Amino acid sequence: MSKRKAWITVAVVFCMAAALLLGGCGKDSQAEKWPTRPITIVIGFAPGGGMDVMARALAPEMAKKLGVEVVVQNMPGAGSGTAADYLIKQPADGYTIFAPSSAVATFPAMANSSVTSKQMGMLAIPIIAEPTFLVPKDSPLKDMNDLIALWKKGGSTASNTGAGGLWHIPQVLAVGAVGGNVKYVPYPSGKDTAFAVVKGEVDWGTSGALMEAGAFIKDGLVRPLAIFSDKPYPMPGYGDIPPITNYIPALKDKIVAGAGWRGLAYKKGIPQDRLDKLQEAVKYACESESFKKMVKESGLISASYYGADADKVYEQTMRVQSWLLHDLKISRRSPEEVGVARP
Amino acid sequence: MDIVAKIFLEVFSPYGLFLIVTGVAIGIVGGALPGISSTMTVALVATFTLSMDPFWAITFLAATQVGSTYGGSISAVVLNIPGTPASAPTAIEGYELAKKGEAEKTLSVNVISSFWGNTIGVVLLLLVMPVMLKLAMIFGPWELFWFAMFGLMICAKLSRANFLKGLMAACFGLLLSMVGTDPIWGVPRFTYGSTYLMDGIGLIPAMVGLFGMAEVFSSLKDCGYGQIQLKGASLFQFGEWVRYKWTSLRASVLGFLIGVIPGVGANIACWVGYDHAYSSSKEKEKFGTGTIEGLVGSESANNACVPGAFAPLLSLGVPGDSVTAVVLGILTLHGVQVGPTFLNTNPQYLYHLAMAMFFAGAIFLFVGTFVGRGIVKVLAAPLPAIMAVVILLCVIGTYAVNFQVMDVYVMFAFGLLGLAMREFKFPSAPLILGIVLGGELADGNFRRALMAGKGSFEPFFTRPISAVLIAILILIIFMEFAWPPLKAYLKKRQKAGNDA
Repeated sequence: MSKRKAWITVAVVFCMAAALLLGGCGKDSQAEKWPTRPITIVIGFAPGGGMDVMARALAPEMAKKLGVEVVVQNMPGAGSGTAADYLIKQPADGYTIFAPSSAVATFPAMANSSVTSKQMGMLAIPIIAEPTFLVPKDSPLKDMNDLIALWKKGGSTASNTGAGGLWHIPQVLAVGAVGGNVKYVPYPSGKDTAFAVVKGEVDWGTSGALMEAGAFIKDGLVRPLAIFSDKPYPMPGYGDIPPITNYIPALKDKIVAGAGWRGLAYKKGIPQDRLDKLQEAVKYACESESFKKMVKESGLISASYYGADADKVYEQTMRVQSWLLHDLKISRRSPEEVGVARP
Repeated sequence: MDIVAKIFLEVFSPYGLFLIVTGVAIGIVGGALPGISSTMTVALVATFTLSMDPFWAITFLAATQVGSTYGGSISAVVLNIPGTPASAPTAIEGYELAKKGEAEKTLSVNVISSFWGNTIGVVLLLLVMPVMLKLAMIFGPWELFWFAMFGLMICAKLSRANFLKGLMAACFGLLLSMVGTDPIWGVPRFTYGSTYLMDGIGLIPAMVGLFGMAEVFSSLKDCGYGQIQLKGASLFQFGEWVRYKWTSLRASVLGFLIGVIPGVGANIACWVGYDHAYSSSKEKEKFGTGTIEGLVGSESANNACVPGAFAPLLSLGVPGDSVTAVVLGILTLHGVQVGPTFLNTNPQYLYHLAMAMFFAGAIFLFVGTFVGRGIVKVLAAPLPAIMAVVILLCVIGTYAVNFQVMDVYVMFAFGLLGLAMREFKFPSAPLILGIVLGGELADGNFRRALMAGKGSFEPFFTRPISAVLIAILILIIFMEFAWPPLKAYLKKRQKAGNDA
């Protein structure tokens, strides 16, 4: 090949790269044709978890309504605090949305991020979590009463996804209600949390009955003792998992704020017409056939909180969980510091 | 056997062929582009698989991953920028060979090693399945911590030329990996109030800077550096690879086993393979100056790791690395729940995957062999032009990871660091390995193990696999560092005795 050809090749590569770089620099035109470029959903957890699956199921449906591509981006770190901070750092143009778990409700106490309901609003909360207390298959603990006795005795180890995380709050609430004492061991994801119980690395653990621990439960590698709910949960392929309120009736009024949820959030301050479009697209996606089918097949517990309703759930969960963690003295700051009042 | 024949026909149906070829092609391009790692490539194409049948989705994603793992080595050899973190050691040896004008030969051996690694991996995947459940169950945070210690030992071995400087580089890497949000409590460490640093120092900006950008700076420094004289080579360098067939085989087995362990992936497999090639080499002094042997070790291991990572996924529903985690997410979206009894009822997934992966390897062997010659021609361009392209690719690749300009600055900073390290003869490999090992693997698992063990150090030594790992570790340290001087001393004494 001649030298000239090589030069041409280099020039072409250069031009293509320059075009790619410059392509992102254009300003949005003022006449509101929105959106004009792909919308990103950031997730605060690694690919493969429940959060990831929900966002990836919603993205294509939202894309249909919005007319642009909806991209899912994983940004694990600080129990999704990194992703929340990222959302708040972006311009309030509606091009970035965030798929949080209810872990965001603990930020005022755990200081993973400074984000509260002042900066962030909820578009929708379509899924309620199913925290389930699990023990290894050959554990001497026969039922939930045995586990409660172990809590009271003290010294057992339990897996979760980190202090203030989705699976930690129900543990704290339940153990606190019976006056027990437990050592918590954080793992990188809900799957790892359940797998740690399978391997017997911890005495017990709390994880999702479906996505995270579902296959392990069905195959008999772990035994679910109770679900953090006030109703029994008919698990597909297993049978009824009894509710925690059968064993600890005092938890009855703490179920809503304690069981986690999964939602979609936006940075407050985006233009109202864009917010309306996003709301509409999110609602469309949450009620789409394919999402409903996914929820049904996997046995998830669905909810339909949109807009102001979703904001209300967020606000309530935030106050209850933040102050709970603060009162248990495992918070890193008082929720008051970021202006979150007691419930 | 019926089912195997059926799946054979399915995989080699026009639709199957189309998916595999497309997957491998996208994978090679994504892998070869600096900054776009295998995980990113697979995550990017994952959305397209939602409308496919679940086992076609897994086939397509596996083909993409196979392609991208190989693709990463192309830019490593030609431009000294590892396309994915799994080809960092490939860059160390491969680019030195390319500078000597042997890029054509190198790429050919490279593609054969990758193919061989992939094939061994697929065969082992089929063999290991029956015992997979037991195998994955024995690795807890204690074992993973010892595994990180193995990695540190590799750092030390890589620094034999100048032990002190190598260890300093490794420690600096470990220190850098501590920056960011800590893996246990989510507390920010060494972030000095910066939100950017909450994510830590990215592996990709650091690696692209230390390899690619440092090369640019270094060539700016010695302007006299002439054009690379390309040496032709025959299309198939099978003979060259055959010389190191046993190295390749052993590195493949090691790479596969690393893939099988949940939580450790190709980013580490490549170093273990490279280290193995070094340990078993008769020409240790050539390492770092461009040796085919090191490249064979690294490429066999990282490609064999890919099928390995699918073993815990299919047998337990636990992903073996970050790529299979994406695949698991996609399967869940399809309503496929993978667990220990999944393969009993759906054996077609395993055969489908194994056949598709093997075939994906055959495709990149073909593509790599013929396209490789064209790619090498890039090196015939004048050096300033090559370097301009390298700068551009470094910048775009780094920016593409998170779309953060700060990443690009970090990349430039590591470029300057890399230049300084070259000037003062510090090896850069231990630094990269330090960053890979530090945060989650060493620190996270150490603290997790202590917590799960209720504060006791005992399980670190009493768990059976931990004990075996320690024994191997001590043995290697003894053989590597204590035995040679001891042997020399004994010889001297014997000689002295004979003389007397």
